[in-house]
Amino acid sequence: MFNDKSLSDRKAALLARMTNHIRQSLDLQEILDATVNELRAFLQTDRTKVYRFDPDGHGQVVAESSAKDRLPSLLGLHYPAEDIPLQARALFVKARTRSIVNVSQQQIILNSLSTPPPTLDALTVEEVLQQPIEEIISRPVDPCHVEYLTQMGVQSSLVVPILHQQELWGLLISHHAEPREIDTEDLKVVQVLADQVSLAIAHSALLSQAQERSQRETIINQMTALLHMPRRPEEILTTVLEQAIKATSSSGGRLYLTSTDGTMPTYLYTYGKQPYQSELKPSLLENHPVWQATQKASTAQPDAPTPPKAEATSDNPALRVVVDLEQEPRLHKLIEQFTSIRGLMIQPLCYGDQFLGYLTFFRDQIDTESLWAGYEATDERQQRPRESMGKWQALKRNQAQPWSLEEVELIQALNVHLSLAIVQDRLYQREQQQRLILEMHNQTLSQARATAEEVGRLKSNFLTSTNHELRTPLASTLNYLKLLKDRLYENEEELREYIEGAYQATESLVTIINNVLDIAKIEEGQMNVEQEIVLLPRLLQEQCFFANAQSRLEGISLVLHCEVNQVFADAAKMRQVMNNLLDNAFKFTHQGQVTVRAIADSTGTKAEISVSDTGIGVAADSIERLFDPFVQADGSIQRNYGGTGLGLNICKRLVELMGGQIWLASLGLDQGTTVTFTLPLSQPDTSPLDGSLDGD
Amino acid sequence: MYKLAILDDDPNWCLIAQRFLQKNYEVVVYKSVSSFLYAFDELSQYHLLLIDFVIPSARHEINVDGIEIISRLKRLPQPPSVILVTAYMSRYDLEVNGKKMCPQADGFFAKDAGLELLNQQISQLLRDAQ
Repeated sequence: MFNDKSLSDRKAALLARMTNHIRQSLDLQEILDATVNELRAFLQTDRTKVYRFDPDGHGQVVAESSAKDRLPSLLGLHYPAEDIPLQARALFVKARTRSIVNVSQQQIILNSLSTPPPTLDALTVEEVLQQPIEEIISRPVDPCHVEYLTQMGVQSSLVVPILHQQELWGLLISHHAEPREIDTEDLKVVQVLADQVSLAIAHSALLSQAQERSQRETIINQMTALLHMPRRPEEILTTVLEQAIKATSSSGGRLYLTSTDGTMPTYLYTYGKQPYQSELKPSLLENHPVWQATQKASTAQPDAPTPPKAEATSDNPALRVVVDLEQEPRLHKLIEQFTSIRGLMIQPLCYGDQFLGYLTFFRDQIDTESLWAGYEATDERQQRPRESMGKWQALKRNQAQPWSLEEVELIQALNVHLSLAIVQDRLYQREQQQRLILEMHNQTLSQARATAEEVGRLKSNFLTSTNHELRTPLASTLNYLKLLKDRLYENEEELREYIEGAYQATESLVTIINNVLDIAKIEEGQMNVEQEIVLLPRLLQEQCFFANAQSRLEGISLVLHCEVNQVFADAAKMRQVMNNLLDNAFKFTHQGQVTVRAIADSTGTKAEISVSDTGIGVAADSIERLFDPFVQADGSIQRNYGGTGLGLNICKRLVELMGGQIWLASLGLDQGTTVTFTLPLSQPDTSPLDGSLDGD
Repeated sequence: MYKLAILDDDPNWCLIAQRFLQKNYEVVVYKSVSSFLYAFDELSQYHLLLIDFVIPSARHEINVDGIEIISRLKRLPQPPSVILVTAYMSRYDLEVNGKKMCPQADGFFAKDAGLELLNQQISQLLRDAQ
């Protein structure tokens, strides 16, 4: 047909075009389409196609070029693995070709042989690999194959293997409806073409690997970013689980987080399809031995140093993949729970040697059905492929879907980040817990403080103080009387001691009751003050006279200076005030003297009456409080000096009732004390009378 | 014989309680926080202590009151039984408020509740402590 020159030109052109295609396109399908077109144009045959093997041995026509009205299209058709037996595949790889020039003739030759050598089907894969290629090639065609091709209307066939990484990737096939001899030169061209396709496949594989890797990295990055988002941990983990399930084409999954040291609660997050959980035995899936075994595998590495670094778990071998649950005997009891779930992948989560939980993915069984446009065609030459198709479809029903290496890697990469995030979250939670405990502790403390304050208020509260001041002498009286009643004295001295104690306590009680009732009276506005002109010298002399006994007893002199003749006051109340002040002065003075002085103030409207002593004095910071009820500058003073702590308070109230003021001055401890009060010299609205009398 | 200690600044109470209890117990009296704290290391020897609720604090221990003292006693290796004694409220009020004021005290006694009651409380606590 062609001269040598044009033939070699055509070959060169074909190869150049193919090389170009491969260089220019990264799309494998495009290259395969171009390949079958170029091949058919070159060989001038009826149909060329590329048949690709699936990982499971089945295969599919992935590219096809066919002449019009010659042979029916097989594009997209699947064929079961048995259609091209292993021996045939091994032969393809070894011989790099298989050419059947004339199908019908082969059949004749086969039949004519008296002792035919065994057909290829009778050989094992090993035999194919060991025997010389010529012997195998010259073998008669397997009668089944002859029938197969004949039924398909194929009279001549050329098959060249397409290899990828030393493995049979697929076949480059030419079919012709009539017998056709392919010469060695043409065959070489076809083989070179197949090599080009191999190259393209390698390119494409690299590219898709790179793409998949970057896609995977993108997914991992997204999840990592998500893991560290400032959201609630449950929300984050649920979202990550959901994304991981989608990224691995799983139908469902669950994240189970446990607490090995018991300080954290157990969590279970689920998404998508879950195994049916019988209500009768709601035992946790993760307690099943299949899960438990992965934990043991991942933690039982006593010799391997497992520093708590993220990298330590990156190639964790403990990942457990069950492609087909029916193949896993330990899961048979559980299978009914799995419903449509067929496969599962268990990734134990670990951080260092700390076991965190399991990440589990489920895969449904699938029915894959490939639609084939020509399936309904009436062409009887489709009968055989159609039968194959039927077988293949039967095979593809209820399929377990294996996980791809990439998906497994994705899960393992996710494991690293997830474990890290979980550990971080646990640390955070622990910190939160501790903060909570601290808060509770603080709350308890502040409650205690509040109680303490309450106690303090109790102490300063008038009613409570009154309670105390009344109960103390009352208790003393009662208890002394009890001692007397029980005759708990050994001699007369003790007897007198008890009687004296009871007497003094009762006396003190009377004073306190008087004072308390006075204060109550004043507070209720029932203390009647009947003010009149009182001759001050006489009143002060009287008071000093009563105090003289104490003065002599204690050896402390009492001096009176009265420069004011009269005041406008209630004589009885004034006596009470003076009585209290003199009492205090003698009580707190151990040596020196007590001075009573009355002078007119600078305005000439009031008398200033003061009682000064040379006693223990008062610290500056205590002066203000001394007029409050039940206050003495030092709590111990009350015990040392007696008294009710009400005296100054009553004086203040009485003086104020009479229109005067009262204050206390002291230069400090042991510097003596002066209490001064004022009273009007005369009735208000009347002109002041200036009297100056010596009251001594 | 059980050893009892009394911490109270009310001289009448100290005298009465000591005389009343000494027929059955060995009784030691501390009239001030200072003297009490001075002997603090020896306080473990007492089986029971009667501590005044409000006691004027020692000058160098401003915040030490009866409650604080009880809390310190309870931190001893072998904490003794403690009765909080007060004249601040009636025995009935004390029943209600005692635990609130001082959760660590084992018993509460109002000074005007009658010495027989005190006797009962002490012997009860000493029995419980055994």
